[in-house]
Amino acid sequence: MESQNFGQPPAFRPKNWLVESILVTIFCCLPLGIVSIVNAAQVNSRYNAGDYAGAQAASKEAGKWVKIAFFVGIALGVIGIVLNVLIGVGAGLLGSFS
Amino acid sequence: MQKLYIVGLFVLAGVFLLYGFVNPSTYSFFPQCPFHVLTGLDCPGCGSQRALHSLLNGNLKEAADYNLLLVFSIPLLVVHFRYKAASIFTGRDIRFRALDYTLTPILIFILVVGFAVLRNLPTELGNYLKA
Repeated sequence: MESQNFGQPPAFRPKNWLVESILVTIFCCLPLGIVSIVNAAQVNSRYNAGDYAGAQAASKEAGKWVKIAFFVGIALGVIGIVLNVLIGVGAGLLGSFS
Repeated sequence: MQKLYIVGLFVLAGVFLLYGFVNPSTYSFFPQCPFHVLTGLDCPGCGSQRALHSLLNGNLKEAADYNLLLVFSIPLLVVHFRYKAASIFTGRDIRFRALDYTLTPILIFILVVGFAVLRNLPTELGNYLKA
């Protein structure tokens, strides 16, 4: 999309986000990581087939999904911890009053 | 950028210390997988906190029982981050070429999805693969 130099390989291969995709898949506990793996696959297949603009677009998309998985994972994790603590404190208070 | 790597290393060390010394299955304050809470199914990442604890305590067999995918991913991650460290220190662009092959992410996709499906099936294999 950005690069208009069709036919000419850009100096650098766009980042395929594959390792980051694997990490969010394993550690962010959300199936969103699979979406970024699919995009990583498109970065490689498009770049290797000579579709450099397509590879760039897929790279952007892969990065977007890695970030979404990462931040949603962290946010839900923090909400989980807060709920756990609140329930724990609540149970403790109830226990001490009854 | 250099600063970011140093911060990253400290965060990583902190995470390793926490998960090495504290067993996530005995304390309730560790975050639970939202996907598992909502659906009751295991996602490809379920069991990774317990697996990390087992791994950091040298128990590879137990880690594989909690999350086999995490154990499988370690060689790939080690090789990738070795190349990454080498390129940071030498200032040259050294990369793990296998990650740029067309087939690599496709294979990983099949592995991840296959793992997610198999670990939720009521079979002997599923019983081993589940978190």
